Amino acid sequence: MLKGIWNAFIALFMIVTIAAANIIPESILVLSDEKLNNLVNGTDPTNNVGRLISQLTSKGEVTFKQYSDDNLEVFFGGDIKYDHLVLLPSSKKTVGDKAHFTAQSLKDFINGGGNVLIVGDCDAQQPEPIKALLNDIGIYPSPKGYQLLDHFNVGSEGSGIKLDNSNLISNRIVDSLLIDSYKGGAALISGNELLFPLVKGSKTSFTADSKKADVPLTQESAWTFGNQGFAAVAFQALNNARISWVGSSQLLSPQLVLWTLKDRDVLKLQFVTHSKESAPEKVDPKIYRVTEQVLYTIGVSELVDGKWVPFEVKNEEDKLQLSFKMLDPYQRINMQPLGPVSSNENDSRLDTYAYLANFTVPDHHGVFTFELDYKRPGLSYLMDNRLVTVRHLANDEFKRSWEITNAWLYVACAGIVVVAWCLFVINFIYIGKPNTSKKHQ
Amino acid sequence: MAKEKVPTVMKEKTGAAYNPLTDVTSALKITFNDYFHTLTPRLKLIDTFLAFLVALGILQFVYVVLIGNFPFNAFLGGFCSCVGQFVLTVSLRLHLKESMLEENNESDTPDSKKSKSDEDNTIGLANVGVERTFADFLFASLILHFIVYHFIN
Repeated sequence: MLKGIWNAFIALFMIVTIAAANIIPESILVLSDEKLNNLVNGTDPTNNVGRLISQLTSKGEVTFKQYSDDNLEVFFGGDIKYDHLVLLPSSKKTVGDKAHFTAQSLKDFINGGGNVLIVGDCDAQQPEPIKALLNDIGIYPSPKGYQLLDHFNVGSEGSGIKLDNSNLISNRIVDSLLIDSYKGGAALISGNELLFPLVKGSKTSFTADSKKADVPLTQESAWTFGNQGFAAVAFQALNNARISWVGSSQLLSPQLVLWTLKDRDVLKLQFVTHSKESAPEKVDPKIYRVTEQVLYTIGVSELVDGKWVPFEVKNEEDKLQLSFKMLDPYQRINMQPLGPVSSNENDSRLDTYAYLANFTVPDHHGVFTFELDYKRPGLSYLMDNRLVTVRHLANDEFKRSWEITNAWLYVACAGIVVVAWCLFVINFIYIGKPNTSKKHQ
Repeated sequence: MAKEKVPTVMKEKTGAAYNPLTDVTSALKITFNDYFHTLTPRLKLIDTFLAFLVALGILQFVYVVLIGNFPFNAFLGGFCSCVGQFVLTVSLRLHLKESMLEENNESDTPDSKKSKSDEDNTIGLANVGVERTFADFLFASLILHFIVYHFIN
């Protein structure tokens, strides 16, 4: 008897521990070069990299590895081994684990949903796989020794340049910038739509080899000119994996790190429903009729401090849009905010913001899609497609003629013809009779 | 009667004060005279009905030109009921005229050999022809109105 209770207690305890173990802390892999940053033997918290490391340790389980290590595998079986990858600069071009740490494995890591933070340095370089990855997504960082310079805007220490809010490209990730003396590289970027630069060089800036200051500046000796050069670039893949590159650890602002590690600006589509306005209680009907009024409702949440809160659109350009399309969008409309709601029926917590689109189905039958395609730089993407059929009017759904005012005249005329015809027939019969009787006389 | 008039017209043509207008008016006069001469109450009734149908058809046509052809089926129904009825009535009139002429010819030419019973019989046959025509007209008109009613919806 006692043993049975004890066993039950143990079983319960195990269930509880398993449930607790399910909340796995996020794992982060930090790759560095001990010649540049000795992270294992404690870091200087006043240092930029030290601040980054303390931010990372507060977030999850951090693993430190060297580029020269033999095993740099980022996959475990088919799944990604770490949630996030932080790549600090290196003194060498090569890595220890050439077989597993390649540009392709890094791309697979991103395709698997992992986020990557890449830190550059003008006196160091990126190992070959990382450089190849950056080039593939359209970021071309300046080579080792090249530095972003500006003779009209020299930094406070006599070297480097001063970066302030005028260098900031308006974005939702970093809202203010002030670096007295920026010592770092700059990158050229391609026209990749998923890329969005954060910090740009001033008009008079250029990127060139800082050790050859006496060499005249030419097209060959410079990496970027003016606004071409970007000191910080962010990238969000279609699977919402995030990559960011900064030219120097000076630009590692906590907001950018939070963004890269998916702690902010993460959206979630809590629900999508559509219904006829005439029968809103029937949710998600498969078939609509032409020229019917449709209600399309979605709920969007945003991750703030680890909790889902209502996501309210504040700017005109951030509005959510719905397309009702069959090959081409027949309707594309801004969604109207409804207000915060709860995503769960049994929960009274308001964690979602509801948006509504109320529109008329086009007078065209076919297979249509409710398409929500929300891609704004910095916010995670929302995509949703719902296929419905739009049918034409059924045989008995057309208006009767007497319901149409225009048709009254025709209906009346047809009626008058019938009446006149009846009168005619009666008269015809009665007029005929005296005629024949006359003839007989 | 028309043959008698033709020479007078020819004479006027050869005259010095020749006016083409008088030609037209005289032709019209002849037509009208002929028409009113042969008019029976039945034909008069038919013609009145025809005129009424034409007026109704024109009214609908003007309406559709002014307002637009939105309930097109209703317009077609209303208009076709006028046109169809007009056609049917015209064919009735033609049959009637024909049988009347036959009747007149028979009654105008005195045939002594024909017995009274025979005469009765022929008149009876003519009457049956008219009645048959009229029955056909009734049947066709009923079908027309039935179709128009359904087409107007």
